[in-house]
Amino acid sequence: MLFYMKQSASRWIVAAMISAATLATSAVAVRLHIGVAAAIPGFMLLALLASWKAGFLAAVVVSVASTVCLAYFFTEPKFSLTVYSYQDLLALASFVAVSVFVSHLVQRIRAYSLTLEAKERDQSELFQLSQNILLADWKSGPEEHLCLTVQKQLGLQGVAFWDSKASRYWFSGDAADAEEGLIASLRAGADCDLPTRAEHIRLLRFGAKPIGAVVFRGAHRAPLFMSAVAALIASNLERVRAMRAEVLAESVAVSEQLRTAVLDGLAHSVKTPLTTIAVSASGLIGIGNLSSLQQGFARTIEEQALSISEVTNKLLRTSRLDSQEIALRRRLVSLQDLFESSIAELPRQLNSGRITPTLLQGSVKILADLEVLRMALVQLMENALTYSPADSPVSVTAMCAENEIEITVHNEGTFIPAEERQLIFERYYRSPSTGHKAPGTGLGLSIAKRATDMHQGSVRVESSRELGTTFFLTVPKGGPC
Amino acid sequence: MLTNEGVVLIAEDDAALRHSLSSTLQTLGFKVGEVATGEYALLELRHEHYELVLLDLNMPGMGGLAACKRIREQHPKLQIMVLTVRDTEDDKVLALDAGADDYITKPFLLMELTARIRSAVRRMRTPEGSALRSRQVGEIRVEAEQHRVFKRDTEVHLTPKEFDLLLILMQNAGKPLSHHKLLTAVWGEEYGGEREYLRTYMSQLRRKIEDDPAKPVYLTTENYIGYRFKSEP
Repeated sequence: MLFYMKQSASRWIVAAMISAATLATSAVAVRLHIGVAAAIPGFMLLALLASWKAGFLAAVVVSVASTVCLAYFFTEPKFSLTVYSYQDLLALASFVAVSVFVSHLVQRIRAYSLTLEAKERDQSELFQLSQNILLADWKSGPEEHLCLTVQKQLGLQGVAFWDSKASRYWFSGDAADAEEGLIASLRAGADCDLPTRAEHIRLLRFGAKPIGAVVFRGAHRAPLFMSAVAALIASNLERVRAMRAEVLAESVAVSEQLRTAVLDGLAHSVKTPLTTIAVSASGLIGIGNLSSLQQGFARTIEEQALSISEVTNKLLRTSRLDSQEIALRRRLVSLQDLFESSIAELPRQLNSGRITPTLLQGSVKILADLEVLRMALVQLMENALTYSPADSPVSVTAMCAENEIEITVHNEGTFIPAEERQLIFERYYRSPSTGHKAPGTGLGLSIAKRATDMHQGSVRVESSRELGTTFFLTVPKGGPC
Repeated sequence: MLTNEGVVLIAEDDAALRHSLSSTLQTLGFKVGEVATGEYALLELRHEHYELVLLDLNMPGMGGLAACKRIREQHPKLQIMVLTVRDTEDDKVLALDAGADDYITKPFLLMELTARIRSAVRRMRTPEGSALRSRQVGEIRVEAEQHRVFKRDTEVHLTPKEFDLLLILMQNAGKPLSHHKLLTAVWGEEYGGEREYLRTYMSQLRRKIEDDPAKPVYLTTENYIGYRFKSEP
């Protein structure tokens, strides 16, 4: 505001000075006996000068002053403001009219050229700004850098923005307190200009969607210019986000490859020695001449080597499940395939002959990744075989509900208390009641749960001391039963 | 006691496993040679007579898979059994495609390995053409020319497709046959992807041949790969 006052005051000073100059010029012209024909262009020149330098109103003042001087110094009677002839009166009137009109035209041209200049300046500033933003290192705090660049380059008091995707607030300069205002503007969904405070708030849009809001403080700039700067900030934010996502995706892929390679290497370096141990132990028995106790030991060595291998397989499966979420290969799978291949997959030391599968009539299909869903069923079957009395039957059935297929795995014995029925699906959880009875890793049921979750299914357990334990695995069905 | 005979070459880069396998198999009655790489396996096979090669898939140098291809080219009748560590289908299918007759996943039970070796040696020694006439495995007998199948001397009635499927499985008893191979052998070259057919026919066959179709003893499923007619149920 003060700035405007200063500017308009200086304008009037210029106008007053030019008016005084007009008066002085007139006096000199009279002294030198210069005629009215030469004086009029001189006065016109002064009015145009005033218009160019000090604006239209100043030009009007100068024009009036010139007319007064003409009437005083050059029309009869001289040295009086009285004008006798109509001719002189007409001449004075047309002088003042032409002078004011030309001043107005000059003013228009002047204003137009000023606008052009301002636009050019804005454009070059936007260009510079976008260049500086693009050149910034996007890896090291690009958001802060963005604020600072805009503030410095546009000479603002403060710049701040709210990134609604990341829910973060960034600012530079005098704008630490604008967060709430920005969130409110974003909620209202509207830009906002406060010329009295030289503050502009703009929504950051990418496409049609607002992705945040920005405030510029101490900006005496056109609202359109501020909108352009906001658009620049928005597109840069999205650019940084896209770059980050790309780098992240790349690094996920690389670490996934690395993990698979490491795990495969590990599996190989564990399984070959385990094979040697198992083969050597049964080789000992094959050679003969062992006492029954020695034979027993050799068999134990062989069995334990194989059970270490099963644990290794289970760990590999867990880690594969952790990474497979992205790439579930679903197709229509028949329940018969699922049951049959699950039984074939059971570890050989378990007696899979105890399992009695009962299928639904007809061919029921589910939309699933066979390999992954099978992990779940194999784990439930393995669990049932391990934690039930030796040689007791394990039944596996399928039932068709409205939208889903329910597979049950039932075994006798091994009561699971109500408070443990959730916990057993947690990774590494080992029930204190079964811990000493059978070996286990605490991985099996967590694998089953995870594999089922990935199919938008669920797994739960019911258990009673009299009826035994039943696991229910539910998955959405792929077609009619 | 089953008699173990046969000449086996072990190609395995892990020295400890190679030695223990070799001594154990010798103790059990097999004649055994051993090499550490695929290249040496090819050399050894050129100079000595073997009936079966146990080929580790993960070996330095040319590697097991390439060795498998070369061995199959040079010795069409030799039985190749690959040793793998991974329990996924990929390398097993690749190995079967490369000409392997069978695979076994580490670690394995010695009993299982010797049973597989015995059935491979038996296949190797079966004269060409005899397979066409008749086969008896366990309680199942198939007479190819008459298109008749017997279980414990009682005739079992099969449809022509069921018969063809059983015949090819029994002619390759003990050997895993891929879905693709079974489909093309029974239905024709233009088939190969229709696993659904196979599944239906296999469950019908099991119903007719097995005592308990839910727990097959002869017609076993090889996950990911296909089916196998067990030669020593």
